[in-house]
Amino acid sequence: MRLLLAVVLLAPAALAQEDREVQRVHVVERRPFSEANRAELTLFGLGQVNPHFTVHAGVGVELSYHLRENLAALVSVSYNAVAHQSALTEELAAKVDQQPLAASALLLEADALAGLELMPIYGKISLFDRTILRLGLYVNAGLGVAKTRLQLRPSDAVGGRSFGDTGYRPEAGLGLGARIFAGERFTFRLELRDRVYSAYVSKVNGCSAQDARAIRGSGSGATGLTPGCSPSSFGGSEEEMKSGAGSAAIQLGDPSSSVINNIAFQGGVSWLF
Amino acid sequence: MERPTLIVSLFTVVCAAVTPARADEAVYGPAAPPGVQGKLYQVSRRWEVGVAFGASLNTSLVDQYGGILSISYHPNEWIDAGLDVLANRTGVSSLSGQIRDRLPSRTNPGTGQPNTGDEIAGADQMRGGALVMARIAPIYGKLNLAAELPVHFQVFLLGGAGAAEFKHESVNLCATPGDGPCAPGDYQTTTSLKPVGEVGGGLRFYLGQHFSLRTEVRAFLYPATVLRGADLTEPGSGTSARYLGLITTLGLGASAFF
Repeated sequence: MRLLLAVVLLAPAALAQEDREVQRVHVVERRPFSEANRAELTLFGLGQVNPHFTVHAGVGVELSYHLRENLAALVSVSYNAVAHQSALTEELAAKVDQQPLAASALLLEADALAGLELMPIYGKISLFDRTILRLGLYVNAGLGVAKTRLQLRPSDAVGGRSFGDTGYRPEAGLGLGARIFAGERFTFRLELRDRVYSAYVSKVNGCSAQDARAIRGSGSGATGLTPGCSPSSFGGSEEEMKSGAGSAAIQLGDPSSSVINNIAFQGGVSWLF
Repeated sequence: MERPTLIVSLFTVVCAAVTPARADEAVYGPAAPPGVQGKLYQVSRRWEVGVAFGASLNTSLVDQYGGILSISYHPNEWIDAGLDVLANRTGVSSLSGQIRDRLPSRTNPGTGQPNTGDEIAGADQMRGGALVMARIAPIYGKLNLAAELPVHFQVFLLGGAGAAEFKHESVNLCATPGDGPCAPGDYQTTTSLKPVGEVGGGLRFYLGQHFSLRTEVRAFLYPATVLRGADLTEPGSGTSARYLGLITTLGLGASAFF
């Protein structure tokens, strides 16, 4: 009996010794806190990373509600305080009298998006083997509207840059980013977001190419303008009206359409509550 | 005599049964603080040889594709230093071609007098170079893909300095005197060796103790020049103006550790 007891107790231990090399142990560690059913407010700074004909930089705010641990609904708005033609575009105009099609140089002044975010990948990072932080990788997608404008005068013109309003366009957003949890309430976010918007340009400040040509010739005295088109929308003085309308007439003279990918790097901080 | 023997036997069996557990502790050492674990992939005192292929991101007037061969030594887990050798295939972009197709006349049609103009900047082609480089990798992390595939990665920043050969092919200044349009391929071209600095950052994904994949963004800075006030009919005219050139590249590559 004693011998049997000894064998029964020793056998698993001996097997454990032999099988230790091939054992896999999954350690399930409880997460220190959860994002589920919590809201998150994020303040972003953003800058365009594919500046070909345009340059954009600005700020954004995003409010998201985490429906689950890895799924959130979001609403975001952004405003580009810097939205103008690139140095190359202005250089082409100044040095070789060329400019890109109006649709290719359409500027994104502001936008609003609503969508969903999925955060399927979690991980941990250590900083110099000391501080341990949690990490989440996410993708998001949304639909919304973009407020656009067109640059009429370059930076070296008298009075500096001027812009014409080209209205609102439908927009889609697609983002890929990382959320680094600095604690239960604070997170840091890094994201690459592609804002895709249509760029068919047929009017500037509500004026067609024909209107713009009339204003270029007659200034405030232009007649027969389309309803909603006003010469004063191009500037306060006669000279500003004529030069602004002249630029609009050139850019509208060759109607163009395009789909613009405005890819921006966004970095920000979040507050979970 | 029966009772003491049973107790001793049980004690002996229990001692024998718990022996493997203690042996495990002895193998893996004292318990680490919660959440702190050693790196699975360590690079201290090892050499790294890597190759990365990349393309320029910000050169609208130039197409640039190429590779970087890196050799470096890791004295510890966070720093490595070595040499970058780069070679690129370069050429003018389709946008440059479109610009050249519609260049303004080299002379005033009304008076016949030569027009003057400035050269378009940003047309430098970095064809090859060598840089001394150092990387710092302060962040080591681990992700679980599909819950079963752990991916270990490291975030690094890099900086370096060296020299590179640049080909400068003007987009809008002809190489041959005259008042007609520039002939195809007939644009002012120079080649020079210039000092270059680089800064960048990237991610390294470990595939094991000896291999890793890496993706990185590098910005190369160099002293660039452009001609201003050039007589469009007379190559070599105009004054040279300096500016800080910038070529940014996105690279994907692999490294081996020895």
